[in-house]
Amino acid sequence: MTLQEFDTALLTWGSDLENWPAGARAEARSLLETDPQAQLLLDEMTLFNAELGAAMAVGTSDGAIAAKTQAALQQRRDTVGLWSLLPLRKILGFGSLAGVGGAAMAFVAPSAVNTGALLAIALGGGAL
Amino acid sequence: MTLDDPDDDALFKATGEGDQIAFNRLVQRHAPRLYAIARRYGCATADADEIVQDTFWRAWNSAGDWQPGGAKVATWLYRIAVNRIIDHRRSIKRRPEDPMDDKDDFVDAAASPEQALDDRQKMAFMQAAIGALPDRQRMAIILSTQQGKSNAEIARIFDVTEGAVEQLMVRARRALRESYRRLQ
Repeated sequence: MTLQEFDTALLTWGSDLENWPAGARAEARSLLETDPQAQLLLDEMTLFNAELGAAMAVGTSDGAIAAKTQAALQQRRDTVGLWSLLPLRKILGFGSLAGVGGAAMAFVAPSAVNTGALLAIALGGGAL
Repeated sequence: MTLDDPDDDALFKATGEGDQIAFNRLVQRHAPRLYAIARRYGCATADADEIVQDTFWRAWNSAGDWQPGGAKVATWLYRIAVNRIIDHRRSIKRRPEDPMDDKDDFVDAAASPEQALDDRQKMAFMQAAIGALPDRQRMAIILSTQQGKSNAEIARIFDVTEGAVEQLMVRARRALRESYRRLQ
């Protein structure tokens, strides 16, 4: 492994050699024993990773995030549960259908205009 | 994993059978991590909350159809959240990123005022450098450094080859290391 290959490997897998594939790790260890430049690169990458890790930190309480998420999901489940139980949903569904039917009747049978319009208003209108 | 600490697959299977306690344990285990990714990626607090909630809402609604043997539950959760985070940030790209209001917590309390200022400046500089990376490089470096994910795990989350992730990591680390060297 050349110094340049070692540098690319550092960029690929990071500064912890334990995370490297076994073959590359063995070659890297040999290089580290013979080339002080390689050790300098490794030391720099180790410091760099530490700085990067500090810059990545997010200061929140895990428990608070989990609790907030659980409460929000419970609220969503409650809302969905209520909606599925609501009898009005079926009535509204029927109303829309009846409204469309009434309007269609008024269109195809002029003698029934009043009945169709009334049905559309009374049932379909309620659904809108 | 032990009986007291069941793995994700067991918890998700139980969730599919309507076990809300199992689902809550999954939320406890993963929600803070997904939230941390969203915040570090630049999502505002409320947006990060919503992304995490939407991810688990999808999980709750899909659990009944889930079959073991496919992608790991954690990988699947990360994949949903990561895609939502990237899409979200793309959709509001013109808006400046939400500053991290909690970063001061990580400056050594025992440091001198000069050292603390120096630490804050370094951290702000590195955060700006992370924020300047292209989407996938930025997410890859967050998953690697903040979440400790291997290149193979990141590849599964992104649904790409490990070689593709290695290229992302090289580019991301090279760019960040250049910034770091300028800081020294």
